Amino acid sequence: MADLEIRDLRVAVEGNEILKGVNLAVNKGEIHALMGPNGSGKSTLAYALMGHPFYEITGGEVWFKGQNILELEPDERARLGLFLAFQYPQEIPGVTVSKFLRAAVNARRQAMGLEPYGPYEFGLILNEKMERLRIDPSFAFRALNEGFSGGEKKRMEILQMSLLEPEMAVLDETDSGLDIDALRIVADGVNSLVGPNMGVLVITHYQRLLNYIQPHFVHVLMDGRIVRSGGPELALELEARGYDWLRAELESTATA
Amino acid sequence: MAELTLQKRAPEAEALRALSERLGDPDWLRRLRRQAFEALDGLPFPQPRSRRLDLDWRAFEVLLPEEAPRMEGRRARLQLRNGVPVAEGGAELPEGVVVLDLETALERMPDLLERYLHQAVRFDTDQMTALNAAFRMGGVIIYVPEGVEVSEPIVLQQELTESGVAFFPYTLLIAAPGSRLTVIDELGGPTLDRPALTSGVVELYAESGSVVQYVAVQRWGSHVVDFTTRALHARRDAAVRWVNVSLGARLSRAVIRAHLLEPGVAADLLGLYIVDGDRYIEHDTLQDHIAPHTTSDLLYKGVLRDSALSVYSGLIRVHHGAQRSNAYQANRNLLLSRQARADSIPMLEIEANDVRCTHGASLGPVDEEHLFYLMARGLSRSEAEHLIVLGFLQEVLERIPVERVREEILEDLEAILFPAG
Ligand SMILES: Nc1ncnc2c1ncn2[C@@H]1O[C@H](COP(=O)(O)OP(=O)(O)OP(=O)(O)O)[C@@H](O)[C@H]1O
Ligand SMILES: [Mg+2]
Repeated sequence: MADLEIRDLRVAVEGNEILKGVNLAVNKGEIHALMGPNGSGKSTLAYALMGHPFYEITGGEVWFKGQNILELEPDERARLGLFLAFQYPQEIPGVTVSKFLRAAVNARRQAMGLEPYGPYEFGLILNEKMERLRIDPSFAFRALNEGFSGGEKKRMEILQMSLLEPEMAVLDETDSGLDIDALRIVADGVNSLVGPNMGVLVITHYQRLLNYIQPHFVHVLMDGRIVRSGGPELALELEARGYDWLRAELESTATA
Repeated sequence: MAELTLQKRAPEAEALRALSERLGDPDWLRRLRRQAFEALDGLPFPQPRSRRLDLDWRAFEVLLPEEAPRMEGRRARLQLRNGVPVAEGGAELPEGVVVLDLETALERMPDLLERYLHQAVRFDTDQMTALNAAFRMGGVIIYVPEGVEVSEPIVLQQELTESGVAFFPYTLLIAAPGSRLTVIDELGGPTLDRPALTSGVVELYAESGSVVQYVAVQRWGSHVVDFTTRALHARRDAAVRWVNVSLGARLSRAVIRAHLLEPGVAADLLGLYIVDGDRYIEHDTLQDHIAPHTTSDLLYKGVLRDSALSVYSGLIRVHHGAQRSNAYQANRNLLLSRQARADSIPMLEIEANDVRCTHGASLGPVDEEHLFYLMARGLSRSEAEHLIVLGFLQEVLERIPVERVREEILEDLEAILFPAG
């Protein structure tokens, strides 16, 4: 079994089935890209993996570290080592970045049987990670995402990922809203974490990101199903030709 | 510390006479007490808006001191128990600054008191202010002379440890022109078996150019029904930060009035309340812009759980001629249960045309998207909720001047809102 295995996952939103049987397997050390037109269900998949209460699981299983995680609460999934970088990170008034991050990191450490970090120790670690992502140290004392620019929010997501050291990460359009420099910094951050200890599912619309984070596999989600999987060349083809040809091809095989 | 003996008496004319006698009131104060007492029956009872109260003040006894020790009035901390000064301590105050119980102050500076007492809060406002004026003992006066800066925060502790009584805390703060000070006024006591009534009055006089920070923290036991009327008279260019924190009492109704009398006044009006069980809290605020170029910025925030109920009613009044004034008002409530309720009633009376006013109110549960975001990072539901609640209050908490006070308020609100943790 793969490290993360999604089997025939069906998800409904307000009674409408959005995911209609998704199958996907991601191993640590692998980078998978998930592409697909707007509204095809990419974020729905990401939220369902993390356990957002709004997304109703109507069928299937998701196996991660020997458990069907669909039975777990979102925080249990997170402490197990699953991470989602949000397409639209929430702004939380009054909760400072450093306070929140220490609580989150310590929750994960305790789940792993490690000692929680004290404020001083954590401050040093946070500083170092922020420096690497070129985030100004003053951000540690600001309210989480409040008034952050789109790019700053995305960088903050990657900061969280690098602190939590997940085993499986889903990045939902982390590239959107990033300028070229920020894109490179974020990609470096991701690349430095991927390896034997982490696998990644990168959701994106653009080849641009995939130039920096080179995927081993590319999947296309359309109308709630993965309709095509391939290597990096598939992303290049989509970039050049869009989705219509694929749709046409699918329709012709369906009617054939 | 010697045990003080107190007598309890029915709130009648006889008790009033005995009180004036024991305290050695000057004539004008005796007259004031008597006037207030005689006015009682003709005055309205300040009925809470959303919880009917059948309360007869005659059912409570009033306290009479056997003898009250005399205070020096030179220290930054003054403690009163049941209206009797019991201790003073803390830092030595600068020359001329006075922190005293009212009785000692009456001996030392009667003229000053006569000039200020009941100017900002009229004794005949309602039954509760009249009761306070008639039967009050103890009470605190703070006086800072012209141009003097008090760097240490002044801390008042007004405790109630008796049940079955009506109790009348009083704070009079006079910041002479150009003076600066910070006052923490802590009102509280243990929860007892029989009901008690508190009727407090606070008068704040911020003279020209003074900089005043006044924080009241109410922690009455849950046997207490609490009324309080607090008013500010602010003069030219005074800068006032006034925080009302309300944590205790079974029912509390607070009237908070800021009168901006002269140009250039800036008043920061903050409130924080935490209510659990079936407790009731009401705030009735007035931002009274009498002079031009005045600013008031009001933010009251509350967290309610169980079947607690909050009523906030706030009036912004900008008088004719108070041009170029800014008045902001916001009341925000976080509801931690479906049964909890918070009503907001904003009101505007604007008679000037060149002013900027905004008001807003909100209420709601913890945002599910916020909760999910934090849980997706590994925080349990209760940890996430905890952070969000503290984050919600941060905006007010961070504007409370003294670190120790902030921490104690945090501890209290943790105990009220998250008792298991
Ligand atoms: N919270 C929601 N409320 C209502 N509809 C939703 C919600 N979330 C998703 N949907 C619907 O589900 C479908 C899939 O949405 P989803 O956000 O998963 O698409 P996506 O592939 O991530 O799109 P994009 O590329 O624009 O981010 C859409 O039709 C969307 O309107
Ligand atoms: Mg999406």
